[in-house]
Amino acid sequence: MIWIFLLIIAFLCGIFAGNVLMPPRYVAAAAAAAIPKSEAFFIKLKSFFPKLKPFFNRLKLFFAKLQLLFINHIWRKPDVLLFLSCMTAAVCIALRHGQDAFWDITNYHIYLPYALFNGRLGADIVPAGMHSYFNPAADIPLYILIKYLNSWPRIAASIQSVWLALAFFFTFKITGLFLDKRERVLGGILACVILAGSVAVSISGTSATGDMMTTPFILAALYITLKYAGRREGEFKFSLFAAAGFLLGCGLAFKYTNAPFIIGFAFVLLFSFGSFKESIKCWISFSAGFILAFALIAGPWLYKMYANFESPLFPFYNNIFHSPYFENVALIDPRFLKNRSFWDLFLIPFYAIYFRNMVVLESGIRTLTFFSYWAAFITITVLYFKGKLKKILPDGHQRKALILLTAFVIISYIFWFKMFSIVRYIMPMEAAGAVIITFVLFSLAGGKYKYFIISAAACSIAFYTMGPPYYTDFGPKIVNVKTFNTPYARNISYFYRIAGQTQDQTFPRVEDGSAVILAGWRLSYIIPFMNPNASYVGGIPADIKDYEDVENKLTILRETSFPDVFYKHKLKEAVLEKIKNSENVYVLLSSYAPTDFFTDALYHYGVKLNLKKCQLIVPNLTLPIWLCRAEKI
Amino acid sequence: MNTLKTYKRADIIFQIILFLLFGAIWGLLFGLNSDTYRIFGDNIYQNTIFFGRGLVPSPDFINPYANPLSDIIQYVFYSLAGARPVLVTALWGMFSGLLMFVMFRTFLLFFDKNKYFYSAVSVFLFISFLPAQNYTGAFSSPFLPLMLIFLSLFIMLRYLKKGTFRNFAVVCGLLCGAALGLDRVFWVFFIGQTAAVYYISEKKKDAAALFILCAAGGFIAASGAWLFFLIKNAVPFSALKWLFTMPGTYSGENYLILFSIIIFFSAAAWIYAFVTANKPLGTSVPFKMFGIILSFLYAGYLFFYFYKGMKENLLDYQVVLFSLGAPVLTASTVVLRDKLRHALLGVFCMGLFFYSPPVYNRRSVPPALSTLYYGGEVEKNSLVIVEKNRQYPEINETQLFPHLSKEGVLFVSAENKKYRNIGVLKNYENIYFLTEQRFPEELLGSPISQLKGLSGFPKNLKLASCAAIITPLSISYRFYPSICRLYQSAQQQSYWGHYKYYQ
Repeated sequence: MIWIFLLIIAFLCGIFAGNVLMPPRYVAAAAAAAIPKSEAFFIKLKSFFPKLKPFFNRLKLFFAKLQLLFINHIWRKPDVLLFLSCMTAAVCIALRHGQDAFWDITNYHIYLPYALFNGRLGADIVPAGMHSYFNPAADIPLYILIKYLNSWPRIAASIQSVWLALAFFFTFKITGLFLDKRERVLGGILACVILAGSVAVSISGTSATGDMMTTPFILAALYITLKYAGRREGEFKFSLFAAAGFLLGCGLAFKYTNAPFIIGFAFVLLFSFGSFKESIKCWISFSAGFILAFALIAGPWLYKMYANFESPLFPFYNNIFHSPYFENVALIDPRFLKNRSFWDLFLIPFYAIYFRNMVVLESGIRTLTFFSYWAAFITITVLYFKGKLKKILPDGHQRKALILLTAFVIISYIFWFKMFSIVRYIMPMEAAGAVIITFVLFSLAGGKYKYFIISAAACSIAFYTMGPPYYTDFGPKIVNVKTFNTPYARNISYFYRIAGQTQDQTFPRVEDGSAVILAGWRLSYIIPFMNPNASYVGGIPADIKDYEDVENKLTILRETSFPDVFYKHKLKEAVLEKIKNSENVYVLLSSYAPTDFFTDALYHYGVKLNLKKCQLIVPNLTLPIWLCRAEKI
Repeated sequence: MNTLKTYKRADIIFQIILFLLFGAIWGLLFGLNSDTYRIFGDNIYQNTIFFGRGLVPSPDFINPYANPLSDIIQYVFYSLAGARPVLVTALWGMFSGLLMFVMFRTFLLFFDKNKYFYSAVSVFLFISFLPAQNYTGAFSSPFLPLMLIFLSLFIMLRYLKKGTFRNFAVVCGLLCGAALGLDRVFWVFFIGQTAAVYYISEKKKDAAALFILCAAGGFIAASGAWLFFLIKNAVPFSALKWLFTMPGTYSGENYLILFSIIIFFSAAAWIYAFVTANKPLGTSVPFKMFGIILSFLYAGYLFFYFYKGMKENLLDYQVVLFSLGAPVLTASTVVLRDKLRHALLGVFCMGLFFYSPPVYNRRSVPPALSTLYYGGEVEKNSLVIVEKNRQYPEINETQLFPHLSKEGVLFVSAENKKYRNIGVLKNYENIYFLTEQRFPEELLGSPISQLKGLSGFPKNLKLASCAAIITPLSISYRFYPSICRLYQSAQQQSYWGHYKYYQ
């Protein structure tokens, strides 16, 4: 039966392909004459099955109505059609990757909005390490999705993919700025394919870490700016630049790691406009929008941080703001900046061609996109100096926009390399890079099979990163947590053995007023499921120096070996106070971490683990977690 | 006229050279070390016994499914240059290139406009598809029978155009039957081609009967010797049930099913385009022939997909299905405009190329089919009881037989109850036990019951000594077989061999 059904579907697809994917003039003709192209087909069928005539008539009418609906509401509104197509693609990608259990998500992206909405700032002290004080604004959509759609992870992932869809939308639009009208659709699609295959998108494009969410804001600002670059006053309105500034301000306010793109964007703005007088007006409009967005989104949190910790950017840049709650050092993640030389700026694209760990991401990646950016950049430079760019892009505005976009990519890349070197933070540049690659492919390829060559080249770049076995999947939804009352066991296979036995589906209950110490990372996402009348404290460093022979050492290193700078807070006294005032003390402990990891740290907090009174929590986002009672010394 | 002929010949030679080179590169890219365990598993053994290289055929270890003739080319390559697997892979890649050439020439008949481009794209799609990638450079590959089938198809399509098929029915039938004799999955092609002959010919019954008769001749020519060999060596009929099961396993089923569905939809779009005559492709005869044969291929594939116990063994069928599915996939893009069609073909090519996950491990192996054997020699007229490798059933001990074999040495399976009789065992002066034991020294001095494979054997068998064997698969697959000498307690114990641990 299923094959008969599939056969019918195939025929319907054939009808769809023949009538809908045809050029618009055919579609219009088809709509007018109620699918005349398939008339012959239907007549043939009818001759075989005369009894089915009424059914086919109704089917014809149904398709005719469907086509009219499609033409009136989607086909004639290209941007709506484009966004729907982008959304479809993004949903497919999101469903393929699934909702993620990315390290950052479990460590703080769930806890932060929970703390914001439930007034836990002050009640909990560094439960997620220093990440507990990051701006939670970008995490609010994710939190709402988890809160209301946790049992519907596919729908949640599909909704979350709207950011990727918007990124596709603006990538498509920016690509259209540089291509001939006849090539815009194909060029836009290929740019989106390259973007979808870029390493940043393929690893966390559908995740909620804020990187993807902020990308469309920056791209939208870029699109507006580039579209009107070099235009004279009268051809645009200053309010447009205020809107662009607002969008860029949103991008930065939601995620401070977008700072390299702000620098790149500053260059674009500097040379975008014709006369100095016009430039001043545009800059003012742009800056007003930018400041307004930043003040609206980041302002409340900056104020909150200042009120609580005497530093608006707490815990960042304490070498400047000198908050008494943190040592006077800048909080940065130095793992990818160590031992970097000037030449690595040029060599990273080559390193990334082969699968390697810790080049620009903790887990291994391989990609051709970085290499392609450089190749595209060099090509554009050569074309420019040879004077061929003028022939390809005779319109001066287009040429200027392209050069500004290339400069944006290069400057952003340099500052990204200098400030972070973490690939997840590079998504806007990946989108801009995809546009440049597409432009270069369209400029260079020619002949009868031009589109085959372009498409094959673009897909090679994209699929090289995305294709198996190197694509990354961050896993499942946050449900199905199981708990077990059992003494602590060091053997990790033990968890999986008991996982099939009797289990309790409820979360472990800790008494009101208890203090729960979170020993390690990726634990705070459990807090929203636990007793809100308890206090949750953390920020204690693990001692892994003497553990050469521990099982699964790589996991431990990946999970615990954060740089020392993340422990340089001065909140120990407050933690001690919490513990002192609590009658019951518990410790949440990841199963990968041997208990000895935190013995010294817990001793400094005046408590000792009681390993006979433990509960095992088996979640589906991280490895199992122990909740053990602790005794005050 | 002569100039034109010369030009055509030169063109074809140029194409052959191009495909041979491409095949060699493709082979080196994907074929090297692929399907390793099969090379070291059944196939060397099957060929060795079939071509009579001094090894006594053991009915317990013959795989009736694998006709050694289908591996003849690889076997010759390995016999000549086994010490240089890179060379073998390049040579076999060249053979794949030859197959690609034949496919290319066949697909040319399918397309009218831009036929060279579409035909090349179709060949690339086929060779990029997972099963074809996997079979490049591998033993037990259906490439040789596929080449015969495509030769048959080429002749059929080419001369059907001219309406003189009957004269070539003999050749077509023979080639198709030979392919069927080498690999039974080609029965779907056989039925499809028969149906096509029946449909196209003027004298339908005569043409079909002639084709079937010739195919039977081809089948006998290709598999007769092997069937005779099986009967001669008294392979039990129960073993012939293998004829209805498929070798090999594959875990990426979803991928394959996905592409089967894509082919199905392509075929639907293609049929639609044909019926509505929007943009007719090719001349009608080859077009219909392709349709008829492909429908049979698809029917066969579905039959075997739903056939009980066959769900995991679809790789050979996928190759068969996609060999015609590839041009159909290419042709299905006819419903699109030129620009989109070309772009979509680019996506298909690169998508298949990059999304074909490796089925089998493509890992490094030592550069020879050698076996390091740390021990004495197995004497003449010995009996070797073999326990099958339980961890990797595909890596079997048969690869060791050519190295251990002497005149009159008989290998029997530990599961063969005939040899558990003390009366039968007494006929053999020396008895050995071949098994997978990583630490043979642990066995020394242990009771015989510790050798699990010998649990049902007479208790008077005692263990004398063991020797470690290192094979090219030892490191990559942790395959560490040992051979242990047994003695019967009535006999005097003697020391044999020595243990040496591989570093």
